[in-house]
Amino acid sequence: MKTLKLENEELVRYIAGDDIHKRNRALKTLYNDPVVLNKIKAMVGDYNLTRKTPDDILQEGIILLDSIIRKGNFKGESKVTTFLLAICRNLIRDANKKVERIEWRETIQDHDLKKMDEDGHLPGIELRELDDEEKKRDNALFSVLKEMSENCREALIGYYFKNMTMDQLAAARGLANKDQAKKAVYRCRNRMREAIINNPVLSNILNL
Amino acid sequence: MKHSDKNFDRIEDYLFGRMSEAEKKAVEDEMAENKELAADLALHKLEHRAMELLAQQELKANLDSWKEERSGAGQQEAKVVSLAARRRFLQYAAAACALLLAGFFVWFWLGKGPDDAALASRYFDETSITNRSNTSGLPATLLPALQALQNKEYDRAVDLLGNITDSNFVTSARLLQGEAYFLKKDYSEAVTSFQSVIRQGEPILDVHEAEWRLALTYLALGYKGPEFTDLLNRISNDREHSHYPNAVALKEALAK
Repeated sequence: MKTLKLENEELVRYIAGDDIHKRNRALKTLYNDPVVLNKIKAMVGDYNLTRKTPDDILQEGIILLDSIIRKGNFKGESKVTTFLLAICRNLIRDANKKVERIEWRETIQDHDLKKMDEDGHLPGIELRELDDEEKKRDNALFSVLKEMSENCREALIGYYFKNMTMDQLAAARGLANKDQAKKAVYRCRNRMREAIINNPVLSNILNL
Repeated sequence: MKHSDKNFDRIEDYLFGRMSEAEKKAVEDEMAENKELAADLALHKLEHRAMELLAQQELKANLDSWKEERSGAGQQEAKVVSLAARRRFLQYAAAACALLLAGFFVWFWLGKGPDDAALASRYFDETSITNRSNTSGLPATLLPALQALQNKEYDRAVDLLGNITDSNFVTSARLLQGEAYFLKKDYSEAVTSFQSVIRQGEPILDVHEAEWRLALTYLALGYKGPEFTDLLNRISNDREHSHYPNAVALKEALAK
């Protein structure tokens, strides 16, 4: 499998950047990196995982890593692959949890991957499981998202998470100009807002 | 619930981390007193969480498609090994019975279906925009990327096309980008590019090109599920479609 060679800084810049193709290229590079997958396979060998494969762990790790980088919480003090492996190491340890948020306290170096505390956790990184209320919230949000049109979902994700400008959004969505794109985003955001307010679980969270 | 524009922008800046520490603290202090602001923030947080879930869903779909692509490549490698083993077997069989060997060859070559990836590549090459284009008449915006494609510098072509933001050329750029991805065998990215052209719905000739190429990309991936069959049927049943004769020919080739 051909793997595109991207330097560490490029990986971070592409994942956080507004070019969807470069972003996908960076994420795909990480996903197809044979060294990363082989290391995860070796880590999995230390545990008796029955519900998840090394590929499941890698996918979950990349989704968490992507979120951290997009939110600007990755400081670039560790190599991206080292950090991804650290996430995966802890995901393996907590394989029966639905891990949502990651916290870390120090820079992770390659040699840190060999260290583990007595519970099998790497020092400097913690994974937190979603609590029952958060799971209920997410389920309700999924039902809100299902009600929305594909066009609206794409407009929102393009604007809010791919950092697309209104010009780019207009071009990608076949709209005449950036004003139309702005209106589309505004309209979709309002639709989502109404659906959230009208959802009984979510309105309860909002104390409406 | 009504939300003031002032609150909207402030809350978005707060949640996206676009505030200084002092500005953040000012919002937090104000929230303790201002219940409307606190309620607005709670709503924005839910909206952001929903969009985060959307982003995760999209990435998961991409990862699954890359996985499929990877396993497809693995199967092709496995096929090579399997054919090598068969050849060795045939050599032993030849020593035992030349007649049986001849019969086996007849069965093997006549009975073997077309190699999907090779078939897709052949049709793609024959109808590629790159091969058909005469660069002299093309707009200057697309020219460097097309030349890169013709020189087989696919990564460079993808980068050049990704930088085109002029709305007059974005659709063409996306179509060519899909072609570059296909030619560098990055099929999942090719699917994304062609689908984005199709979603735009116009110009119709670009949509036809994207539909045909998307069908070939599915085939190259070894995917013959409903999306592939529906698309190919639609093109081969539409005499007005630019690639109607190609789609009919492809269907016949697949049926053999």
